[in-house]
Amino acid sequence: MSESKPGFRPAMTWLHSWAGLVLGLLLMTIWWTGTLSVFDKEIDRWMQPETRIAAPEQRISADAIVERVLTERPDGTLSSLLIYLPEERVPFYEVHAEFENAESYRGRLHPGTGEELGDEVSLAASGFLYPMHYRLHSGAVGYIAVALATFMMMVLLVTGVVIHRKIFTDFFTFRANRKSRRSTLDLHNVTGTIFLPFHFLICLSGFAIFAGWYASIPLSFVQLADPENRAVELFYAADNDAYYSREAAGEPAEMLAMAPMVAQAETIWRDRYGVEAKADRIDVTHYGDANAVVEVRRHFPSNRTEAHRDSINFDGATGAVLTNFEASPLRKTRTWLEGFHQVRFDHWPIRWLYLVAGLSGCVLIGTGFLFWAASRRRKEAAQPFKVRLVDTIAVGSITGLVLATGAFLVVNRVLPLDAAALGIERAGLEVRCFFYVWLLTFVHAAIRKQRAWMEQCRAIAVLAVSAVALNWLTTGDHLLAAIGKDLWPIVGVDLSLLSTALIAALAAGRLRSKMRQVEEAAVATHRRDMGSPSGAAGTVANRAE
Amino acid sequence: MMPVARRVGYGIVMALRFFAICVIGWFLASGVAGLAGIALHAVGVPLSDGMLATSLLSYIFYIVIVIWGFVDRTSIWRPLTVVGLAALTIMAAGALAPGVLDT
Repeated sequence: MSESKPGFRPAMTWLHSWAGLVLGLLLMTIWWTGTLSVFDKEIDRWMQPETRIAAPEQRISADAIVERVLTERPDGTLSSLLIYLPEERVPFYEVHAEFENAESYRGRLHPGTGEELGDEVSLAASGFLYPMHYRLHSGAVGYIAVALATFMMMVLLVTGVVIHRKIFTDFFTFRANRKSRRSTLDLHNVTGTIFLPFHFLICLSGFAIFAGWYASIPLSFVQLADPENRAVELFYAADNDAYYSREAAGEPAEMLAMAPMVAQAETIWRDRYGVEAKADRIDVTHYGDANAVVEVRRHFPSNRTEAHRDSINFDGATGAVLTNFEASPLRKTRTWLEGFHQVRFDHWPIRWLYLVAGLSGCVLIGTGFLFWAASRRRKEAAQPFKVRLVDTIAVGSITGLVLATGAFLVVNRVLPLDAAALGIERAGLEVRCFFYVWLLTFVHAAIRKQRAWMEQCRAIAVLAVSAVALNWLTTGDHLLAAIGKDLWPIVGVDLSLLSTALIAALAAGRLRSKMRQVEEAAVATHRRDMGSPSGAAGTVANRAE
Repeated sequence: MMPVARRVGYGIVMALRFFAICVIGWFLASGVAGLAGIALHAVGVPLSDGMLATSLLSYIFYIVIVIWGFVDRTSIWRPLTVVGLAALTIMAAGALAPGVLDT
């Protein structure tokens, strides 16, 4: 290499540009799906109309729900059970049951009557967009890719701070009327500086959720050389202390009612924290065995940031408290980080702020892409392929991702409930639609070049309005009806879609007028050249070259 | 303007450097975190707390490794050092782990 050694700041600029470029698509996918996941339960209720129920005045107990499940499967002996209790954002019971004959049951039950709400025919946000955020629907490879992206995002944030000489000035500088390259960089700097604390903390907290697992992945490679080596278990210790388990006794025993255990757990937590505390999950292992364990959890407290902290294990046969987990100070730090990232506490203004801050991350990544392409377009006119490739990826990962999400919502309202094709069920068809539309946006961007931005913005506007209209047509819940029924999640999603349509339409209009100006300027220059003798001669000479 | 062959060669070298520092750097961060956790356990910190602390801090190790690795991107020793140290720390953690886990 003949490159001379650069200084620290230029070296960090190089790292910031190239790492951002290489990982931009991945980072955009993670940020966009993560941002949408802030309102995952609301999107779920929009995409699964059967769950648009009002909270009943009197809720039936978890024991009545278990009875209901057992009457559904009279021939099965229950072995384990997981019940998510109703809450404000998910106002129904969710039950996952395993039977000894290896059968399983999964259902969503009405909190007032215990009736099933119907088959879950869409993965919606909790089943698709949220897992996409942390594993990209690609199994272990997806987890590893997200881990690497999380690490690198923090490197990008640190190098971003290092390379800015005037970070305080950047905080207040956005020159929207300057040339697009300058205003793109301004927007990149403004979003990067204003939301820097949020961006850093959201990366750190996302990392904290999987920290033990991420750290253990490299250690698992020791087993390639020595299969007996247990180094990989080192970091499991970071997670294991919160879990309790014991072997089944093999002797049947009558299960005690769970409602008093839930009440006892809530009393213990109320005494511990001095505020009202609601359990949100019951996990039963070895159901009907003398060693049955009933774990009552407060996974996501509504009035605290911390998550995954409160867990009490009861003996299923005697009701005795087996363990009452008390987090160490260090674990409390982690539970706070987890809660901060998963934002399951009840605070609507903060939830909206999360959305805004999440979108700012998308803008940060998107403008980084655009600035790179705009800079190289001038510098590397002889290498148009490189710039076109980045342009294509930028279009696909910015407007393409939004367009694919719009298609996901629209197809959810269009497909019949029993739709299936090529052995793929309805939920799978929705997911495939998302990926195929996303792929098409890249192809479209490669073919249509700069026009792709405008055309995809138009398509986003059309899809967003269509989604709102289709929701009205298929469920009857238009905006006023939803307000009348207190279906605020539906109102929120519809209004967000309409806002998206408006922004996309405005962006398409602005892009159109800019393109027209560029075209008119090009035509005027051409006419001027043709009109003057030197211009005509120059044009002829250029053609000859 | 670099000739095509040189450009391709530069791209390959940079991709290898990126892999060595950014991916193997993760291994090094993890190995250092594992050894630090073992050291904390040796001085009396509970294993769960020690491993939790070092796994959370491993991102700082990672940032330092990547920044150090790219400060001089003409150096062949930096990526090689990352790879070598990653192998050493992972092997050391592998050798010390049974003693810690069985206590």
